[in-house]
Amino acid sequence: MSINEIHRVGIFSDIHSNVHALEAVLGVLDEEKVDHLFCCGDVVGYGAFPNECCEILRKRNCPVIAGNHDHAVLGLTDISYFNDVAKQAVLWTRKVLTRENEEFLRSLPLTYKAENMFFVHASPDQPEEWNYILTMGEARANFHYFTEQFCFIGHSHQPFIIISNNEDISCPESPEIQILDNRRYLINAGSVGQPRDRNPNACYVLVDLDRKILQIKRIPYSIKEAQDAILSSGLSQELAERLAYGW
Amino acid sequence: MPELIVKLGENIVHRYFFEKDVLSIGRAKDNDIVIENLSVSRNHARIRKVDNKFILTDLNSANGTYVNNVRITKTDLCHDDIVTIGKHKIHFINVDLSDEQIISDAFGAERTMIVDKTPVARLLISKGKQQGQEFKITKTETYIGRSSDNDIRLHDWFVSKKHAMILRQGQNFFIKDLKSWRGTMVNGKFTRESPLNDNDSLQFGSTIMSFHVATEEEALKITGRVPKELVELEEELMAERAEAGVSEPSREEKIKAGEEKIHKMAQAEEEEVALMQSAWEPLDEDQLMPPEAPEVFSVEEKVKAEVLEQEVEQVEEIKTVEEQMEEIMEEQPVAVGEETGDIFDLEESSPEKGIEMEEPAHEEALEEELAEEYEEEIIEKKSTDEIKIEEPPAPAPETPRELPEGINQREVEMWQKALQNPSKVIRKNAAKFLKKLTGKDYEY
Repeated sequence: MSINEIHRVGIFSDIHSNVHALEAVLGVLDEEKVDHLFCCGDVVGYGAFPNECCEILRKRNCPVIAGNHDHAVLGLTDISYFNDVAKQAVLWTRKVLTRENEEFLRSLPLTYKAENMFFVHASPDQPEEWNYILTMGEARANFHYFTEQFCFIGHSHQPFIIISNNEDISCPESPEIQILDNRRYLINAGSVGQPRDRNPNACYVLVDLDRKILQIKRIPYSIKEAQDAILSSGLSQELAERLAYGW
Repeated sequence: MPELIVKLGENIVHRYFFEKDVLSIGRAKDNDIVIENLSVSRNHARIRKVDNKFILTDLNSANGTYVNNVRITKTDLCHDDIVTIGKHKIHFINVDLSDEQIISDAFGAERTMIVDKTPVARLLISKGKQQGQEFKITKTETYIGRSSDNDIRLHDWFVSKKHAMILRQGQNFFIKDLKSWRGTMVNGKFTRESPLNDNDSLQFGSTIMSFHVATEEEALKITGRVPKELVELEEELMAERAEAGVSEPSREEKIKAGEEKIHKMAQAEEEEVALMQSAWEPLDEDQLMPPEAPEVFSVEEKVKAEVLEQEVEQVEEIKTVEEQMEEIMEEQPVAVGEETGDIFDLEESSPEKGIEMEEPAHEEALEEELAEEYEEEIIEKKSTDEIKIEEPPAPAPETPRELPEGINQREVEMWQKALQNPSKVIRKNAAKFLKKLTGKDYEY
């Protein structure tokens, strides 16, 4: 897929079969009148609507990166290191996923580049190893593994912005930053469908390259409906409960 | 890398990263941090980095430099210090981020995350077929009308297919009539566009509803999460009350305080909205005529509806509307064939409108012809109805409604301006509307 000129971009990640959260995020991104959408992976796993989420993204025809849960469902990654709840969700998803959506997940790349933006699910250094970037040191090291001005990731479900001036890195307090030409950025887009930063609202990133502003934003969605669906589909109660706590 | 956040009131004016050894602050343009305010000296203060210390020095400024409200001449700056220069405050942030530092702790996500506020208002139908129904307003643009593609669908023959739109700008709301046949009334007065306030009464056709802005409690019900700002606020309020020996604040007080807080939070969002406004400029005040009669845009629709009206015998319910309309008809011939500057008519879903767009010349002729016929009808109707209008008439409009002249030009100018908008979506839209207005192709 070729990307036309980028002005206003919406980036989101880790939907995890939560169609209620996905619809809320896409609805608000439509209102924000973004001209491009990017998804940093983990479309499925945990939630009750893997097919619906895949179909929405297929319809949107936006670049989607493969995540470890997407690979796990396809049997492309070892799930022995997954916790029991995650493993159970992977097995459940395998059962319900349609052939078309399986093919869709199989078609997802591990990384994606568009103009001055680089997208990967876990970390740019070894995309297929699904390493977490949790500390400043890990962030610092990863700036060497992409050349673009922006690298967007997901995976940890905890949003952040790290700024590099090529000598030092810093982490702003604020979720809204002014984009400067001589800086590079590593941004975790958080999670749409299962935030883990003690804020249960769905998370996404809005980048306005014309106004040079990058924001990490939150949007409320119907957590109750997502929880009810998880419980009624036989998935773990824990998966439903954690949505309310954002953890 | 320390960060300096310059604030004026609640607004962030600028952010700087401290990357050099010396950083100067003042009114003169050659400073690193320029504060354009007469209370600030040309060369007001300086921060020098010595080893790992940051030393702030006042350069004999006229009005002084304060750190955490203490006037200083020279001091070390620490993380979280507030430097006050004139009316501006500079927040000094210097967190030592070692490689072991956990990013999510440093980012402080929960404290500061921007939250989209929804829902924000609701409409409660108080009169009409759908009496008692309630609609939530969560979107930027909420369409109201008779056809199924509206957000709020009204089952009322006197409501146009696309009747009106409620525009949300942060915590402010506006109603815009989409050239509906019967018009839109706010608190008993016809309007084409007006701001909406809590408890305003709205009338579309024979449906009356009330508009309510959601209190913070209602807004929070949706997520179940109480923003930290509101919790803090409540705690502060409680502490103040306890000190003063007053009992717990009333619900109203809490709501008022919450609303003020939300209003402040919305200010940042308003800036974003301002960008959109360049493509959606409200009409000038002089274009908004006080109590207006509904505008007639499609004569066929009007005639059809008249017939329908006779069949439906529902006239009593909307008597005031009828009377006002007739009065205007008497005073002034129906103005048709003239386009107004409303941008939304291009989206009109009625089939008649579709034809209008494709063949404007024919349509104009047809409309003129129909208008003449219709005028004759009105004159006839007037002569036969004269005796009927004996009852005290509804308050007469102060000025008869006229379609402003030259509005097309204004609309063209508006869209031409929108062609410069940074958003491609807006530019594309502008080119589309300009083509419809002028017939020419525009590059976007």
